[in-house]
Amino acid sequence: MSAAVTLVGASHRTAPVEERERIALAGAEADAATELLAYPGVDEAVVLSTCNRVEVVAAGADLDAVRCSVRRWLTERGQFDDRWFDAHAYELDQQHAVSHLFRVASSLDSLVIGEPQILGQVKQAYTACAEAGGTGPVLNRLFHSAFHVAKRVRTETRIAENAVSVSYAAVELARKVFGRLTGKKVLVIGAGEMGALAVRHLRDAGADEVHVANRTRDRAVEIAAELGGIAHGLDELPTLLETVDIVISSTGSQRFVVKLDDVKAAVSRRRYRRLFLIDIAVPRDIDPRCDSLSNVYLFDVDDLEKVVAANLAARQSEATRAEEFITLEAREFEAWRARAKVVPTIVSLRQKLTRLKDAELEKLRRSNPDMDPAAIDAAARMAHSLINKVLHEPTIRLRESSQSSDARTLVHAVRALFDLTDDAGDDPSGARDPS
Amino acid sequence: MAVLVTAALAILAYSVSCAVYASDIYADRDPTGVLSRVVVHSSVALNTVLVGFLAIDGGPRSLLTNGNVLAVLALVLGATFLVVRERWPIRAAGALVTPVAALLIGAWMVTLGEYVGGRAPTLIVAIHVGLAIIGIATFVVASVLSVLYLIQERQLRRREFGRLFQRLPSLDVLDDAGFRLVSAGFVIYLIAVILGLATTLRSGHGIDVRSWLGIGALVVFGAVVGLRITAGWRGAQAAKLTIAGCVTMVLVLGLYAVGVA
Repeated sequence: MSAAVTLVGASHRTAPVEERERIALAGAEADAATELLAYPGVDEAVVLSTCNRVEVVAAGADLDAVRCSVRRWLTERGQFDDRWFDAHAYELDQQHAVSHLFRVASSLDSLVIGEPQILGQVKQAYTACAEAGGTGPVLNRLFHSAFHVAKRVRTETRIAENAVSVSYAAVELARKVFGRLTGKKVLVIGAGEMGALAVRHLRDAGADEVHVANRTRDRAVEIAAELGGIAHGLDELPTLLETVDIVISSTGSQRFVVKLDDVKAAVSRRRYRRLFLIDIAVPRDIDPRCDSLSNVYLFDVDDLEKVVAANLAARQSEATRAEEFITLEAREFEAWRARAKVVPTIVSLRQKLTRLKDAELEKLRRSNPDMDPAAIDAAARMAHSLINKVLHEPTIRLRESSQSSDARTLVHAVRALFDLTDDAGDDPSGARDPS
Repeated sequence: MAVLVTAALAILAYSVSCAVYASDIYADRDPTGVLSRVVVHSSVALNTVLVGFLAIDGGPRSLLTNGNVLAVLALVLGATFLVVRERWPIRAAGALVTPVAALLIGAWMVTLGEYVGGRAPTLIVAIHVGLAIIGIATFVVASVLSVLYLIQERQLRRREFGRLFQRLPSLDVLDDAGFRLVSAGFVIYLIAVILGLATTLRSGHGIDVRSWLGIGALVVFGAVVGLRITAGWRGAQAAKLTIAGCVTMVLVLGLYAVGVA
């Protein structure tokens, strides 16, 4: 069974987009995996290609051969030389490759830590390559471990919580003011894209009535149709401020669109219900003095960026916890891989002795046709028991050796002593989980 | 002896609860959440045992004599918090409610010698004191929520979006829960004050400083409720007024506990 694992690739950390796009695959991962299997030493391969990375995870019996083949495939594909490779790509072997894949799947290596898409992309790449016959026992096990650790990271840490986009930060702040946003009324002023995006997020969070105010009424009608809201002119702002709960402003105006006096008047008329104002325009649309009014909370684009920065910092600290899970899971995979080195030999040895036993019993039956079947059964039981006893110690020694450097020597010795050369390496039985 | 040991254990349990709730604000992970639930329930259970001992010792009405009132108030406060915690997502309030309960039991231990032989009150006085205890406990929890409201609002105003900001509930939740508690406490305490005044006037005694202060606190809470209903008054001002009412209430309680007329 192939036991060496290597990971070769380039990501947003090592190569700019114009370099990454030279090797990007865009949906052709399965073909790439099939191509890779034709290279010397590559027994299994999965190719992951996203906008931030192109990585090949491959397994084979000979680590050097696998690594060289994958490197050659990548350089041929991107048509670049070794210097490019040394500058922009990385090669990780064995436990480093395993840990890296776990980090990628868990979104610790993503541009935005904790983003949810990467796990789906890894799953998709694995499924495509597996269906194309690119995976075997090692990569199957490796990727399932990666999915497991990614799930743990998502459920047992807070890595995926809190907004990391400015438009979603507005929703998070609104939640800190109102709690649930169900039934809240939103007013969007202007035609800015970010404002519209924030409104969509608010809608998803439960806000149910959207009003759109714009300098030109036609444009307001247009945006309102897009957002499923009601169109208004800017002259209606003072009235609207009395009824809505959340205001998002993103006009191109050079003067304040929402004035202090309008908000002040609205506050008492709305019986001091909280008013949440988001100003994402530059220059600002809402008079900043509004923030000093009772039950009025005004945030500008800098404030939203502060929320994002704080959330990113929180995710970073959760990433430290996530690394612990990754270390544990990588150790477990390494132990499995070590056991996998000796299991085919143990299985071959047992099969060989069982075959010998069966042959001897057959010989016994032929040479003594009148022999009592009960006696033959007794002889079979004795032979079986003898095999178990003979194999007990060697099996234990081999399993123990899997955690040390003696494994290879012992495996070779056993294979040589019992003439197991025919059963070496890719014995299908080795494909089973040795644990 | 058993009473004192139970009281000491209850203080310890409330203190541990406070520590767990405080760490809960920063950790906010499920194991800590479960732990906080376990320790606060244990604290209230120990407090119940303490009050049970006192009731067995001197009869149920002895619970409402000056000194014992503190232990009963601690229990009602703990129980009120448990109820409120189930209704609103305000676990963080536990970090402030539990030390108050611990302090009340501590105060009961300090004043134990003076009041253990206190005269059992009449039924009307017992009802007056009982309702006052429930009212005060409700106001204390409401004040704790007001404190949290002011902290959370301050963080919003100062753009401090750290861990504490993430963990504390929204302004609406704190405001809504606080208002409901003040409203409930106001009705209960109003009945207690009416009963107290009726008893005092019937017995021919004048209204003392404590009673005036109690009425003053009632007026403050009445203002919080009235202004909210009539003018929609809420937010930081309402929170500050609730805290002021509670401070007055605590002063009244302190005067009663030390027996100042």
